[in-house]
Amino acid sequence: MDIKLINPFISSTITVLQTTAQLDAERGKLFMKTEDSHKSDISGVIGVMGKFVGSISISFPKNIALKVVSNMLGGMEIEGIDDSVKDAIGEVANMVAGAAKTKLAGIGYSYTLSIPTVICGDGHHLSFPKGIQSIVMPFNIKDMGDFYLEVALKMLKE
Amino acid sequence: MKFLVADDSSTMRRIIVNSLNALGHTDIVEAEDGAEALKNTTGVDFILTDWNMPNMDGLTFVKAVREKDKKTPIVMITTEAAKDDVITAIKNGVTNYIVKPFTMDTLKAKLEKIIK
Repeated sequence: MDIKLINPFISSTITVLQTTAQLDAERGKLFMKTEDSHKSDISGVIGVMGKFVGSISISFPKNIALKVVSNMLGGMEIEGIDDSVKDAIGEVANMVAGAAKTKLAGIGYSYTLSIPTVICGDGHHLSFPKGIQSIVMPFNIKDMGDFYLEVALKMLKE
Repeated sequence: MKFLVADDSSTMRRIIVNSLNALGHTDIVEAEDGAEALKNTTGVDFILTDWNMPNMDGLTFVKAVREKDKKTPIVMITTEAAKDDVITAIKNGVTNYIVKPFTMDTLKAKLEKIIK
């Protein structure tokens, strides 16, 4: 997968977290996903289709997810992963994929987005079909821990 | 003034409704998709809609509204910010455009300007 396809998703993740939740996410080092590379508690997943197919997902541990959603809603107290948290994490994934879409369209990679899917479960792991390699960017939020952006795309033949 | 807010995300609807409330607007109808929104346009003075929604997307909803109503202002609030998307939306009757993501303060300021 071409690295120029990944960068817009990385910068969009930082922008969306900063703009909607006032959280500074510091990027780590990209790695290729393996079965035991990382686990999370809630993930927002968006399917994409254009010159490439696949999905974009953003996966959080519970504490960061609750902080993101609380901040999005103006500091509202949120105790656990409920329907509003699931909805908000889906919307975060939608905004990341949408913001990257605009940037990628500018370099000739247009795509359409699916409606977001949210997956919950303590310590869950996302799997992708064979033939689609997932590249992971970890992000750190100071004093809170890490969350992960996964870009799993396959170029279609012209 | 009566508002219609259509977005499949309850979080986004809450942010938009809170922003409208902060501007003094409380007569607000909410819809989870374009199909539900289309059933609730009677008496509405101002429409705020997302683009990507299940059942009926925002663009289809806008086209349906514009078949009968050319005047009611429609603001598209969406992640779809590519130039072609904006042109498509405007050509089909969208009056103004707000791109996600935004802070609640930014949304409030933009809505205040647009509503005036």
